[in-house]
Amino acid sequence: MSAPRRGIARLVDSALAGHAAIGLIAGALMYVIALSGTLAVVFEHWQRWEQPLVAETPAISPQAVQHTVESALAADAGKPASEHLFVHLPTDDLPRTVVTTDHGAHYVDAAGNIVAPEAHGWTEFLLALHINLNLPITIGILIVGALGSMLAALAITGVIAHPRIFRDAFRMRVRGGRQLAQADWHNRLGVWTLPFTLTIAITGAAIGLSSIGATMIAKAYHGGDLIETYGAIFGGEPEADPTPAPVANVAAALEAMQARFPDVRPTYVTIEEPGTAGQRVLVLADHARRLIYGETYRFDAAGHYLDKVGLSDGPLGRQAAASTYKLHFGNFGGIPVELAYVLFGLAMCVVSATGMSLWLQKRARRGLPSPRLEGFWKAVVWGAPILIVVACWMRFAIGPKAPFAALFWIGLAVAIVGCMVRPEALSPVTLRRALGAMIGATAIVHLLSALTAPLALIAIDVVLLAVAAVLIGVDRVTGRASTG
Amino acid sequence: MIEIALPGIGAVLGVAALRRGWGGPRPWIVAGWTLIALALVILTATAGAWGLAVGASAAMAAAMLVLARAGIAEPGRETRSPRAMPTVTPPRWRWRGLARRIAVFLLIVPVGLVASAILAFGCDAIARRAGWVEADSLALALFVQPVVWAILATVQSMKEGPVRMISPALICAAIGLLLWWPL
Repeated sequence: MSAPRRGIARLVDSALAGHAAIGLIAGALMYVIALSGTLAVVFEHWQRWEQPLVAETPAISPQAVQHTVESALAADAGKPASEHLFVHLPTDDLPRTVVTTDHGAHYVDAAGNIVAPEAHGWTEFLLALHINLNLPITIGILIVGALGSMLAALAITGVIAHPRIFRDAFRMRVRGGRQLAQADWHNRLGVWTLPFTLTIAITGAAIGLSSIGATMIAKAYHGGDLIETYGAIFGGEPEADPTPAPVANVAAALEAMQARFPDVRPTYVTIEEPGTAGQRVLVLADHARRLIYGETYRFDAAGHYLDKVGLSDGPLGRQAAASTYKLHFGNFGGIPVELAYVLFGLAMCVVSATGMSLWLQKRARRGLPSPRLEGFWKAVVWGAPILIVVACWMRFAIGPKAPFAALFWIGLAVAIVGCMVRPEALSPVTLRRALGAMIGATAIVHLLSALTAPLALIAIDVVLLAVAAVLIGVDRVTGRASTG
Repeated sequence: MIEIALPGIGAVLGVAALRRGWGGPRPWIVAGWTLIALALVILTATAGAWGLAVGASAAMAAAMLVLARAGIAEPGRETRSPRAMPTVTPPRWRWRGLARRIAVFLLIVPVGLVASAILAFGCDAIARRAGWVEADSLALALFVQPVVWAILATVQSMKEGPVRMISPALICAAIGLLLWWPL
């Protein structure tokens, strides 16, 4: 072997060792985040699906929004004053109007009347699982952010460890040996989703770790004031003046938006310090063909336009920071991009699952079989999605306040212990088919209980049935019972 | 709409051309990459970062479908890899091995985090001194930290043994301090 070839071989071995080391550090949690993230891409669709019979409001007038605001504040009479009031305006993904105060969130009808409480506890559990692993947000989002950086490192070491990246671009030997098949799935999916992986890893890490950098900068330049620090990007808070005042004229603000900015679509209204002399109205508006989550237009209490934050046309850093969210969650191109992100997310789950599985198989091949570790990994890979479905059943059996996070994590711990004590008890094939049957049963029951739901929600049940069919019958297509 | 759809289709066709040329005529490979690059350039010129993101998503989705088809259509026969697959040599279980793993974890995760945070802080400081507005310097720091940490973890994890993992972290932190230090 020539010297350059030896050098490359050494580099590949080092990268592979590094890839394995980082994978072992982050593997299980990264899989849970990939799985919940795949589902979170369409979280607004889950929110609708979870409460399928709530009235939808594809459009709402400025006057109705004003009525919504007044109704919500009146409903909170006697409670401590809310610091913020939010109105989610109908969007393509969530064609419902939701008003949120510090005391709760409610759906409203097209006239602005409160009609039902927002009760999507399962969807919120899914989101929290992805964003902060159901831990307290401060620490949870840091851990998830750290895993984002580790994911990027995994992608880089994976590429370095793959010298035949172009020659193997489409090589798929899924009917070869188990290890060969899994290696091909792992490598091919990993390579072709590389831009996606790096994008969501870095944006996720930037979101998750931002509190560290911002805290350091706040302490150095803003006397520790985090709100002032973040204000450089997202806009600051108004000076508080608690003197009671009539509620802000949101209708005027929305009408001014239509008149001054007809090309943008308002998606969110926020009243800061509602019902006080210091209140201010913020209208977040979606800009077509932009990655920014929106532009914030500011109005005074009378609904007169003041200015905008500059997320759409301000300094480049502000635009870049505002672009991380849509890029991360895949909601920048409607249903097609969302479906593509779900596909890429599933690919990441496969890459993650097969990665650890390959490592275990290589250990076994070297004479170090680890049945308990294999049991652990089987419990994580199949236990996590099964428990998410069980949590969904709890939502419909007990209600939106069910202890989803406790069920998931305690259930996963029990599954892990069980599979480590008796690794041979349940095969991955059995677990996969069980998951398919559970998803299929969920879809059928949901479909039958919400026959009058909008077509888009019935389509979700149909997709779930298709997923169930694939999970149960994939062996017929590939011609072998995958044991991964 | 057409100005997005056409290059989007071009990116998808580029992936199809790559598949056509894989293991076959080289011109298809050249055409495939050219088509993808051209499509992404046009989309970026037309619709900025949004266009680039849409085009990349379309190309990746097309590749997923090609791989799925390859997985389904592959002939049902047992095949073996024609080459020895690179493997990791797992160490035998020893207490020393556990200590080593803990050291690796500590060096890559908490130490790497601190080192990358210091470098990000240094980048923010030097950007401020260069006259950047705060939105830019802050955003720079927020993006630098995860990127640097990922690169640092890559470098560290490719080193043999925990001792050699220390110097990359130290260098990273030292650069951050030098950038921050008001010399």
